[in-house]
Amino acid sequence: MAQSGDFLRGHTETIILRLLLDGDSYGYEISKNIVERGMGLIDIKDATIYTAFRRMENDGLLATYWGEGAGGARRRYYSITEKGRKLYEEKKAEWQKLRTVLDNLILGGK
Amino acid sequence: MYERFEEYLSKEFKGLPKTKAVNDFKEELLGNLVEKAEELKAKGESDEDKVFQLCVNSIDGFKETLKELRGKPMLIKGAIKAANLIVYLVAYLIVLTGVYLGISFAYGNWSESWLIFVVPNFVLAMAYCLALTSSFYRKGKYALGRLLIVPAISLGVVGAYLCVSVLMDMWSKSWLMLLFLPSLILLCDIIAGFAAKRNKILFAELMAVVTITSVMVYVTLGILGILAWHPYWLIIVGGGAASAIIFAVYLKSKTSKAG
Repeated sequence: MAQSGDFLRGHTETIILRLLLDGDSYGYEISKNIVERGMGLIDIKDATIYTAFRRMENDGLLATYWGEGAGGARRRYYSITEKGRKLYEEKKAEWQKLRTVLDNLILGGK
Repeated sequence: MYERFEEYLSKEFKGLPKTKAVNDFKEELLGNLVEKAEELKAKGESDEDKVFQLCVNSIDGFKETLKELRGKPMLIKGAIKAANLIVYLVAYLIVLTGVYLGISFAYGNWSESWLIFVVPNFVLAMAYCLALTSSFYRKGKYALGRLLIVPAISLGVVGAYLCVSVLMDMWSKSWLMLLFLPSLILLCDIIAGFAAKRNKILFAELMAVVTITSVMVYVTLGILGILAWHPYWLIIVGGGAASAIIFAVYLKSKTSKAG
């Protein structure tokens, strides 16, 4: 059963930044990657991704450029900026802490 | 399929402002739609209509992004602009009133300080006209730019006339300044025309400036009693001679170009 919005809320930007650490990419590919890596549990809406792109670009986390695409259309590529990398590291550290806390709370522990 | 998607997006984007952000988003969507269609076809889907519909459905939520790109409705934008204008106007009037009261109380000169309410308006209107001229020039609309020089110079001269008349109490003579308005306008237009027409001198206007100025100098000096009417009418003859020289230079330059 694919989950959407709630499951990813607050993490969409971090996920996009993580994917872009592997290399520049474009909207459709990023969307496809999220769905594929989501092991069938994630179904992200295109609108969520496009809104995140706009916001992240305005915040200087992403840079864009045009490249050749399929069928005569152009692709809008996104690349992660230095600011984006720093934010990703911060978000990753936050996530690791949160995961430990949630593990303790949900699975039980000290 | 590309054209079909393009047509679909053109309809969906109709009415949106033609900004770079909007155009980029439209092209990005087009690229993603085409990509998706190619992939579906590669997987064996041959029904064009089905492929089109599947692709279009997959980007259904893009209208949310369109709302963001559309920005604030025109009505709200207009209301914000009007409110800002009122705030600036009130602030401007408060500042002017403060300066007026301050100077009037400090110097006790209430009969002249009212100029504080008038002169800044002339200066602002003149600056606005010149800013518009500069803007039109940058866009290559030289004729409109040159046209705005007329009110700009007129406002400057009339403002100066008021200042001189009130502050120096020279109403009986200061009107002579207005006689030079046509010459000044023409002179500024020659300079503006020189820039607009890529360093081309407007000979006809130059001749007109020299002639008109010589007449106005003669009339002004005569009225002020600085020079006698006779034989200083020769100033006008001198202006005519200078115009003739300009005309000769014009003819020579034209002949040398033709040669």
